[in-house]
Amino acid sequence: MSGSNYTIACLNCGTVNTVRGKAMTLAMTCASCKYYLRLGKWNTDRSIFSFKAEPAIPLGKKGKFDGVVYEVMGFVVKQETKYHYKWREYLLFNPMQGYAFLAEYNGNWNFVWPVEHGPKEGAPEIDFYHEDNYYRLYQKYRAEVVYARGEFFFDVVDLGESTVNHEYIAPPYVYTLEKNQDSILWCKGEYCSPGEIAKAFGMPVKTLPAKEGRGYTQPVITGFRAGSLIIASLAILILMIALQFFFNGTAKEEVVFSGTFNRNELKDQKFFVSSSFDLKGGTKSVEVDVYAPLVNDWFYADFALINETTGMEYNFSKDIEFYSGYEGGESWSEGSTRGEAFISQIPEGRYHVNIYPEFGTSNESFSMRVTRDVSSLSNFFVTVLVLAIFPAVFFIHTHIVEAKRWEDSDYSPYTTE
Amino acid sequence: MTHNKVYSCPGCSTAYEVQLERATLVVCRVCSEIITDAVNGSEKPKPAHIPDDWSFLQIGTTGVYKNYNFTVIGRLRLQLRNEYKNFWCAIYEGGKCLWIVESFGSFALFSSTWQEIKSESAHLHAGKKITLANKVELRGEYVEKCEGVSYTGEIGSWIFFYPGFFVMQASNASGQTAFITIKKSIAHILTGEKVTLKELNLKNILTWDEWK
Repeated sequence: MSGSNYTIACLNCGTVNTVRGKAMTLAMTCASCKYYLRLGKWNTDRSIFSFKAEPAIPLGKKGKFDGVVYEVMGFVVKQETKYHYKWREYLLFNPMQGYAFLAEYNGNWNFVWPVEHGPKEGAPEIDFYHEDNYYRLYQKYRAEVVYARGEFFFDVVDLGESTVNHEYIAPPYVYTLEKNQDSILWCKGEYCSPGEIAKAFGMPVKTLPAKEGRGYTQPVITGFRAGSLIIASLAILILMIALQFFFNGTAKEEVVFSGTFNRNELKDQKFFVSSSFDLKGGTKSVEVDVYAPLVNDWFYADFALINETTGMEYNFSKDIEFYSGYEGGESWSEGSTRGEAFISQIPEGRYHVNIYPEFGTSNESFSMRVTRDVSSLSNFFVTVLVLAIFPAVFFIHTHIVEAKRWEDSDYSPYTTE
Repeated sequence: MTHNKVYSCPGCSTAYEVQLERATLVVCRVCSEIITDAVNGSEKPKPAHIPDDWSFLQIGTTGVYKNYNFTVIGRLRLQLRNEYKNFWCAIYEGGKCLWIVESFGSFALFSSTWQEIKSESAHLHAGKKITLANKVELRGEYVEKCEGVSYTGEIGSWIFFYPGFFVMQASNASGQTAFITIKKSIAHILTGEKVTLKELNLKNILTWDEWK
């Protein structure tokens, strides 16, 4: 069952108009003279608009949203009364679902539908939580209809002038409150990309207004939410801490060599050779600790950990300095008499260390200790740092985009006094 | 008007048996003539044809709500200044009246009887808090002037059959709702609950093929 034989003669020019919305239509524009007609019993005022506009989606066009087919019944251009910017709204209708709206500004779209219960009560200026989202007041405004075409289920012109509008956003969602003395209407909306709108109506996206900038309800990244990222990052951090505790608990930390080397034992040699020691238990880490009894002096050495079977060398160096004194009534010191080197992934085998020392002015000796299977915090911190890069970049990017989003709002949380 | 009594339409002689225990009006579905009514005085109804619209309920629509089977037997349509409200009169439990109030996909059920309230009725407005006798608090959603009343079939308890009165609906987040008529500072209230279309399990509805 379909169609409409419902007609109304224009009160201005007499043209008989077929009324698509039948008795539900309470205001419409005449197809011939373009006058805006109020069809109510006591208000039959008619008016003409000086502003002209063309809807990007033709009246009568049908589009599907969430599986529901809607027909475009009316088109209006609204102008905000304070800053005078304009946007466009399409009135959609489905007999079972009622009406909904498509709002378009700078090529950015929102699909908006009435809801039975408002998400909040109390002062309109207060932000609120609803359905796991935090909605912030984005704008409060009055608007006038500067152009209308098609049919409407309410006097869209008069209602627009008498209504104060509040919009609260939690991208991609928006709640709108239209309030006057006679009615309170809450609607919920969701951002739609131009591609989604084009697909819904089966029309080329190039016929829609070109998209400029980011829509005020356009989400930063549609793949996941900030909350999910925080939870995932915390989960990984907890896992890393647990793994660190596990490795700390299982590390044997076996001292396989410990010795002291005196400068006078060097004689004509340029390097010391430690006694041989065995590294056991497969491939594991090795830590080399160096101590030099320095007093306002320095010590430097190149080290070569050598596998006596394969000849494989693991080279590293250590530079140790320690200075102290008394100046201006205060003691001071800088540097340290100790140094350490951590080498991971050392295969088992028989090893010794060649040490190529350079002594300072007064120091005559140093000690070296080699420990097998040592847990290291450095891997943990490096991993955490790498894991933190993506969330950090995400939140910085989000902050920049959000600050930009709120530039047009009188209620920006990013404004500093 | 007597329950189960058979009346003959004065216009076309069609016989009609009153189904509701407390019916106010019976309109002939064949010729739109008033078959019988239980109204006295200035509100005595005259034939008022329902205009064509896109409603998908109809007389004969059945449904189930909370184990109650109901059948729509009448319709009263209020044309408001910026809205319309269909009061679908349904019968359940052998003679009780259930109002299914519908507009633009929004539904509410009212099985209570009208109660008169006098306090502050002249000052009702959207957003106003209303406290019912059972302490339930509601907030006004809209206040509209009624510009037209039309009806067909069998109509349960109803007060105004001529436009000019005001109507208000108030609700809360729990889905409790009230429909209020206001005329000359006297208000009558009907309490009920908001429901979804799905919850009504409707059958025998009109299918508008263009929107499939």
